[in-house]
Amino acid sequence: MSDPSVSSHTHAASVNDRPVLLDVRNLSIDYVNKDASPAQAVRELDFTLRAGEVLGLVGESGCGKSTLMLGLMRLLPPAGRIVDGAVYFQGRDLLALSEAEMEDVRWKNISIIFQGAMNALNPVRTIGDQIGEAIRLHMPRQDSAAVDARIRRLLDLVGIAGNRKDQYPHQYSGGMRQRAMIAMALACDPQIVIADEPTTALDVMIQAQILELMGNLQKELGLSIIFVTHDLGVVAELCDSVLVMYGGVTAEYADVDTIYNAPRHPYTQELLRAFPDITRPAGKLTSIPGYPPRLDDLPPGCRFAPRCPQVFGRCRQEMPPIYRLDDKHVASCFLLEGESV
Amino acid sequence: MRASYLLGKLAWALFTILFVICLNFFLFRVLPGDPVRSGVRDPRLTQEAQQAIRERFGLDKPVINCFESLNPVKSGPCLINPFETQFFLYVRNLLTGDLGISYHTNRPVSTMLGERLWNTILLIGAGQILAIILGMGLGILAAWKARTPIDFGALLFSLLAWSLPTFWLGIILLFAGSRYFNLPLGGMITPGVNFPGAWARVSDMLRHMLLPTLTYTIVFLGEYMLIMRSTLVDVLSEDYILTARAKGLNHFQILKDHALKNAMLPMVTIIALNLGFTVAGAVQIETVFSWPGLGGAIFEAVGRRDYPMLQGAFLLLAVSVIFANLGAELLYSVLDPRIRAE
Ligand SMILES: Nc1ncnc2c1ncn2[C@@H]1O[C@H](COP(=O)(O)OP(=O)(O)OP(=O)(O)O)[C@@H](O)[C@H]1O
Ligand SMILES: [Mg+2]
Repeated sequence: MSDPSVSSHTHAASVNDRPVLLDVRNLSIDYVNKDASPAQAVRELDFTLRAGEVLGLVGESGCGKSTLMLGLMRLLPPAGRIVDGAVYFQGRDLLALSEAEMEDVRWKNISIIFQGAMNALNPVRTIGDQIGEAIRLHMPRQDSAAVDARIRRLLDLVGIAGNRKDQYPHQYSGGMRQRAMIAMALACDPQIVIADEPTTALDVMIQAQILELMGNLQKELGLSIIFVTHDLGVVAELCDSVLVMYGGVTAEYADVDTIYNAPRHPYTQELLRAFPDITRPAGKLTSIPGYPPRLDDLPPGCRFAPRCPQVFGRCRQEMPPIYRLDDKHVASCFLLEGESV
Repeated sequence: MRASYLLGKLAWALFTILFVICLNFFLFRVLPGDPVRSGVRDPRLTQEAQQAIRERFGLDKPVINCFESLNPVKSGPCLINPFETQFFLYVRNLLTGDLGISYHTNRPVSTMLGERLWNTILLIGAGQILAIILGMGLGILAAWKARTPIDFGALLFSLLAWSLPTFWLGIILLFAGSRYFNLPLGGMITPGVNFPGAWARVSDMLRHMLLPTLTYTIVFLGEYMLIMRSTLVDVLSEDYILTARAKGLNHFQILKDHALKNAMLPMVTIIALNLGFTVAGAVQIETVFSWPGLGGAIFEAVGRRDYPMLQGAFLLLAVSVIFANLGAELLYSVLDPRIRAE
């Protein structure tokens, strides 16, 4: 991983001129279980994704990252309910589509690589068959020879020999399976690829390979990617902008340089301090004491208040609103109240 | 599929059959009692007549070695010709398809089993096919509508069907069917009737078949439904199903192309095992409905101490269980690529 604080993002500025692909507004998601009060997994989330932009989504385990991503694609488990908000994809609100219309959007426009995707491939069907299924579904006018050629090209793109398309997932190593997933995610030329911690189950060497592959593909194909991760190094390397979540809400949202060089929310600052940085002497590494809040038992005020080093009285009573600090930098903390534009 | 895998399975099945043949042979030789005395049940039988019967059935020959018979154990001079033993004769006859002569009817066991076997296959084949179709259909429906009233209703019905005692269900159906629908009380065909044509004969048989088949279907349907439902519910919660949804497949495509093939794996095993036991017949059902099948034949043979008949029936049963298992394993390896590769 390169040093986050000096990483250069030459195309970051230009990204802001591109058209907006995905516009998520005020999205709130609950998990409703019979014998408990609803868990507020995601609350009033706003972000945009432009063509060719890579957005990093970071936050501790359980802060609602996967829930948010599944919500965008309307793939939540039965207990998950989208209670408010809108998801505009190229101007169309995905939440207002019929199920059949949504099935058309899935994979053709937005595809997703799942967290720890070891079992994300069907064990009784060949890799090529599973990739081909997506092509046949969304590009129905191709004949079987064209589908076959496309499967080989996709596998080639991720560095898998085309003749391994007739093998089954168990004949692939973990890293190859994840690369096959990536090939499958690209099968229908989607505008957006969601990658939900695509490397968690892999060893470090393979992780690096997969990340490099994704970075190259992104540049080559001009993809928009939402990259969900714990790894701030990955964020620095790949992303244009970063959304930091805490307990289901936005803590801070800005472009990557701002997040690394001038973070304003105490949670972002703590996260960066907890991240091993080779430019600082070892030993300064700290972890944030305490645990994220339970979603069905939230504190009355700011969700980060119980762990915040800069907490004061008001934090425990009121939920801070989201302050806009400049054009593309928002954070939710009372400390920033006076700076809002 | 790899040839060595197939050959290995086949060899193992053959070995098991050989083992069963030996076991089956000795099992009946260690049973207490003299089959001639108890089988013929006529106290006035002279010694000469008894000896004649022994010779007729080969029971005068030593079982396998110096022992005249295993029970009672008695040693004698060891001048035995191994080709004159009961075991050798048994195996030799077996290879020519001769299962011996029934003590009771004096007819070849293979003929008697053959007559009964087809009746059983007819009844139980029909029942199994119906149970598989209905049970799997109901299981798929319940899994798809999991945790809804439809699922609950299907579960309740299946649990009930599964736990009903077979003979009780049979008697109730027999009673209701003959009382309200004028269905025959038992047997396979109305005796003493000259049927005007083939169709009249078939329809008479179908009327006889209806109730036992229905009983059999209900008994097995519950099991199939419960297993189908629970495996399918498990499969539907797998990651690859979420992938399939994310790919934009609709409910029906997910079920057809991703869930069912995985959910079929346990079903195949259970169906194959049940089919193996088919040959034994549904003893209870065949008894309640006086169906002239194998189950009934075995039941009667036990009462008559008709050892050759029992021995033949047991062998048939064991061989069919072994072949059903073999079939299940081969089918399994077609369905599951992970096994094929091993
Ligand atoms: N079916 C469910 N019912 C109730 N609560 C749920 C359900 N699924 C997830 N949650 C809760 O929602 C919260 C968010 O979960 P989510 O999986 O989105 O977190 P995450 O940020 O992706 O975490 P990780 O980094 O571990 O993947 C968690 O607190 C979790 O306990
Ligand atoms: Mg997650």
